[in-house]
Amino acid sequence: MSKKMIVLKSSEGVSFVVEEAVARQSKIISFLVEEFPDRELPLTNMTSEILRKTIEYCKKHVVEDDGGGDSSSSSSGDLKEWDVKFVAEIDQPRLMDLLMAANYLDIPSLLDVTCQKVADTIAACNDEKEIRATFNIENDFTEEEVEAIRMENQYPI
Amino acid sequence: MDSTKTKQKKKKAHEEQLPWELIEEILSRVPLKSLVRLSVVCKRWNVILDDKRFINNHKETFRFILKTKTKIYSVSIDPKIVVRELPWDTLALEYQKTTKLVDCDEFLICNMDQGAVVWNPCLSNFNFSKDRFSRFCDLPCGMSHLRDALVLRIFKGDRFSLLKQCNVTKKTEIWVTKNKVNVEDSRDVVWVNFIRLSIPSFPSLVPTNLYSQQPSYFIDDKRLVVCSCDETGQAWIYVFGENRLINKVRIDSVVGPWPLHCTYFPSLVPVPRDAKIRWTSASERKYNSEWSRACNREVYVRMNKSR
Repeated sequence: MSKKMIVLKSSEGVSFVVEEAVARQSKIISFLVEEFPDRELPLTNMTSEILRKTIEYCKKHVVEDDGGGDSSSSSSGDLKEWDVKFVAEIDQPRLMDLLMAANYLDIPSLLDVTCQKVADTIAACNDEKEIRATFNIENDFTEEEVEAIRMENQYPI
Repeated sequence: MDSTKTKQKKKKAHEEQLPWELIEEILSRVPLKSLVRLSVVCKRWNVILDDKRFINNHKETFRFILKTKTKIYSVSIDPKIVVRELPWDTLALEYQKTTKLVDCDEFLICNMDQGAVVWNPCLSNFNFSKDRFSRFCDLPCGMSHLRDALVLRIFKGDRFSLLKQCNVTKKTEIWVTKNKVNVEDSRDVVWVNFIRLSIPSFPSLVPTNLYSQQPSYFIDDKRLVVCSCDETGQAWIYVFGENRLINKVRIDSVVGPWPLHCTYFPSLVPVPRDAKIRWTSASERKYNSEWSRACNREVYVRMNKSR
């Protein structure tokens, strides 16, 4: 039985041919393929690299309906382990891009694992300076303001 | 030639500012204990962390605290009931016998043999204090049996609610005060019946005379969530709504019978170094800082001015 395929096109114009069931984990794509019979979806704000990563994630997480008894390709414990490894191998800037992609395409489980990874990275930072450096956040506080917040919170510096 | 232009390199996607809701998504997954120091990172983060809604929607947010002799746990209710052990690094607490847990605003008060400890379990800082209660007003009903449940709580920030369960019929009622409570003037306190549950095989909320700890509870919308121990000392969470039991879960992961328990919503407000000063100013603002208790058909509140 041949599977329905769709084409996802990255910002560089590279085409990725994907099984519809795989792509449908994105709620946006799921909506689009139902509304529009078009088999080619341009994703102009996603690079090929991030799109490839996203598809890799969706392929691993696809639940096959026609398989009968064992519906998922992996057990949930294995999947969790795979997820941890998947996000661990991505560097910080690309992880943020993937997080934005998960948000844009509306893939809740991918958004969850990427957000969790970023949250863990934040928690592992020693101080706010390290957090700002890691995530390119501009310090828009004056020293006096920081001091005032610290006084208010009274936590040990 | 144009220095501002050369400085502004073309930003890649990951250098763009994350949308507000994504920052919230991320921060709501940072462990509670690591959150407070994030408020100095930047103004946006500070605003998010300051919002009470944020902490209420945090992935580790919880509604009850359970304490055994050596351990302390949080119990989350939504989307499912989850028990987590809290870090217990306040050494002074370990060596004191806790007799009661009471939640008060953003803080938790552990009554000790001598005085009490004011504590924020998310931040693990604490303070000692003593309390004194004065009679405030009458309750709409009292205890007719030794094992009736009768628990007073603050409702919606400025009112009282009262849970009553008759141990014989197991009929359970929630009463609330109709108007805001004015601690200075108890004359206009009017109690109205808010929830009345008559469910067959309703669990007894005070199942034994031996350890007669009253149940802990909170109300959101029309839902009543109760924590109480069964006759073997095992803690249970019951969720009631629309005159039926929606969910009940035995808290198996708590080691040791008869844990102390209380309702507690986490907060990031640190315990002030001088708790007395804070209570005075809080009482001027609104009255939810009063801790209160029900006894002998009467409401007792802690009076700030008595100290």
